[in-house]
Amino acid sequence: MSDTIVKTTDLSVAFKVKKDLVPAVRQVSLSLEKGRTLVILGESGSGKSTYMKALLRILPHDAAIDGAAEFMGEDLLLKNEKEMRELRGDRISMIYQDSLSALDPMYKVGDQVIETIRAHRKSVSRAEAREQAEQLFVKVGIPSPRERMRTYPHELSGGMRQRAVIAMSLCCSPYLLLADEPTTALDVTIQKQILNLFLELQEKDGMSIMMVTHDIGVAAQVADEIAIMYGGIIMEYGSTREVLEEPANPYTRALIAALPKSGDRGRLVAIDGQPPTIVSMPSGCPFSDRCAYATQICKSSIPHLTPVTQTHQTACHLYERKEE
Amino acid sequence: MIRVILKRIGLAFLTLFGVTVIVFALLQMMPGEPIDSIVPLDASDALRQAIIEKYGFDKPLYVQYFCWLGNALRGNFGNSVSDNRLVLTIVSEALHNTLILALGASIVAFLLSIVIGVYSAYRPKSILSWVGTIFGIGGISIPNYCLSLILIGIFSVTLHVLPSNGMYFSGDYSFSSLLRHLILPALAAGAMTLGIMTRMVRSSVAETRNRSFVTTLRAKGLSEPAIMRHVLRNSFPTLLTVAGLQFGYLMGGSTMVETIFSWPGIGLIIYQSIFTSDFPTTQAAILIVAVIFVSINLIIDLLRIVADPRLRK
Ligand SMILES: Nc1ncnc2c1ncn2[C@@H]1O[C@H](COP(=O)(O)OP(=O)(O)OP(=O)(O)O)[C@@H](O)[C@H]1O
Ligand SMILES: [Mg+2]
Repeated sequence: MSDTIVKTTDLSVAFKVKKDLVPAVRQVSLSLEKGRTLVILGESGSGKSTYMKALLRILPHDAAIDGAAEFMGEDLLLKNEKEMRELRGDRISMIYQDSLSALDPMYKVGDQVIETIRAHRKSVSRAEAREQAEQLFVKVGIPSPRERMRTYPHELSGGMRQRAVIAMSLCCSPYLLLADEPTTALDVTIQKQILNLFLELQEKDGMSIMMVTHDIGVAAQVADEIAIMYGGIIMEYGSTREVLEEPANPYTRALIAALPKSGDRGRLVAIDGQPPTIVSMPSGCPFSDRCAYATQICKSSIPHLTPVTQTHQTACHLYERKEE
Repeated sequence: MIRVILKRIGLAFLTLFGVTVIVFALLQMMPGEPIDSIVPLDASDALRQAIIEKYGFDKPLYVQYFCWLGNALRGNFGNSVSDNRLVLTIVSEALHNTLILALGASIVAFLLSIVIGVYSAYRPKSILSWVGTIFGIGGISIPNYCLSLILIGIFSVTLHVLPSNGMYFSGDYSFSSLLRHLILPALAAGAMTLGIMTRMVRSSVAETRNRSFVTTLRAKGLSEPAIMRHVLRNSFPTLLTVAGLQFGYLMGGSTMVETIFSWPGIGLIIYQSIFTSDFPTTQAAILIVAVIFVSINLIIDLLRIVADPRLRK
C-alpha cells in the first residue's frame, strides 16, 4: 500500500453565479503523504477554502466538482452521501476558517464534541465520550475543561472557541486534518501549543495535515511542502525550503514579501493591485495583470506546473521560456 | 438574567396600567352619558340624582378611575346593564368559549404550518411548498369574515354537513356536538394564523439551514435528521414568539368570526355590549382581553429567555 493519504488530479470547482458556472479552483493536482504537512498559501479569494471543502464534498449543492480526488486509494468523488458522511469528522476532519460561526449557538460546546464522537463511535457511551472530550479540551489548552464544556459558544472568547473547534476536529483521531487558518484567532503561546499538539499527533498517529495559513512563520515551521495558490490555480508547489528560499515564480516572491512574518504581525506590504475575483479572472495567467514581468503570452494562456527540480514545480511562462 | 426578567415584568405592569387608563377613557369618550343607559329617560330628577351619587358620576374623573380600578382589581365589574347578571360571570363564560375557539384554531394552524413550513424549507420545489405559498397568500389576504361566509356557504348551506351557528346542538352538550360546531369557526379564525405561521416557519428554517454552523455539522459527519434537529432547535425561539403572538390575537376574540357564527365568546360580547350600551360589560371585556394579550406577551418573552441561551446572561 502506498503512503499517499490524499491526492487530487486536475481537481476543479465551479460555482453557479447567475446561471453561469464560474471556476473557483482550476485543475489542482496536489498530493499529501501520511504523517506529513502541506501548507497552502495565497491571497484572499484564491480558492484555498473551496479546494478543501471540495475534498470533504461540503460545498453548496450547485457547485460543480470535476477531476479526481483520492483518499487512501479510494475515489472521493464516486462515494455516495452516506459513505462521505462516515468519512467526515472521522477519518477526514476540518477546522473551519470562521470559528465564530462554526459552532451551534444553541448547544453547549461539550455536547457538540460528544455528539461528533457518538456519531462515529456508536459503541462509545455518553460518559466515555464526555471523558474523551474533556481530555481533548485539556490537550488544546482549555483551562478548567469540565466547566468550559458546559458553556455555550457565546460565553467563550474567540480564542477559547477556536480551541473548542480544534478539539472537535481531533475527537475521532482523523487520518487527514484539513485546517483552514486554524490558529489565526490565537495568541502566540496558544498557537505554539496547538502546533505542537498537531506535531505530536503526526508522530504518534501518523495524521496528515493540509493547512491554510497567512503566516509565513507558521508555514516555515510546520510545512513539509508548500503550495502557492492564486486565482484558483497552483502557482508553485514544492518542498518548504525551495518554495520559501528559492521561489521560481514572481507571484510567490511578491506574496512572501507581502505576508506577515511571525513576530511582526500586521506590517503588511501589500502586493500592488487587487487579486481578481472569480468573475473578473484574466484569461491567461491570473497574475498577469499585476505582474511586472508579464508578456504577451502571459495574458493569453494559462501556465502549467513545470518541474524546477525533482521536488519543486512552478507555473510561469517566464520560467518555461527560460528552460527552452 | 434575573434583572432582565424583572425588567420585562415591570414593563408588562406599566403597559397594563396604560391599558386601564385607555379603557376607562375610551368609555368616557363614547357618545352619551353612562348614566343614560342606567336610568330611564323619563325618570324623575331626584331618582336621577340619587343614582348619579350612588355610582359616583359626580366625582372628579380621576377619583372615578381609581374607584373603578380598585373594583376591577377585585374582580368587581358590577352588573350588566342589559340583563343584570354579574359582569364577571358573563365575561368569564365568554372567555372560556373564546379559549375553546382559539385552541381549536391554533392547534390546527400550528401543526399544519409547522409540517408544511419545515417540509417546504427542505423541498422548495415540492407540491407541498406550493400549497404553503397558497396558504401564505390566501390566509393573509382573505378577510376572515369572507372566509366565514364561504365556509358556511359550502359546508352548511350546500352540503349540510356542519352547523354554522352556536356551540352546541340544542339539548346535546356532548363533546362531538361541540367539535362539529367548532370546525368552521376555527378554520375561519385560524386561516390568517396558518398563513402567517407557514411563511414564518419556512423562511426561518430556510434561513437557519444556510447558517455556516450547519456546514460544520455536515463536516462533522452528522446524519440529515441529526442536522435537522439542530436547525429546528435554532428556529424554535423565533417560531415560539410568532406562535405566541398569534395565540394572543386569537384570544383577543375574532369578533367578526364569533359574530357570524354566533359563537358566544369575548368578541361577540364586546360587539353586543357596545350595541346595547352595556358599559360595564364592554369595559370589563376589553380590559380582560388586554390583560390576556399583555400576559401572553410576557410569557413569550420569558419563555424566549429560557429557549435561547444567548438571551440568558
Ligand atoms: N458559494 C459560492 N458561490 C459563489 N462563489 C463562491 C462561493 N464560495 C466561494 N466563492 C468564490 O470563490 C473564490 C474562492 O473562495 P475561497 O473562500 O475558496 O477563497 P480563500 O482562498 O479561502 O480566501 P480567504 O483567504 O479569504 O479565506 C472567491 O472569489 C469567492 O468569492
Ligand atoms: Mg478561506
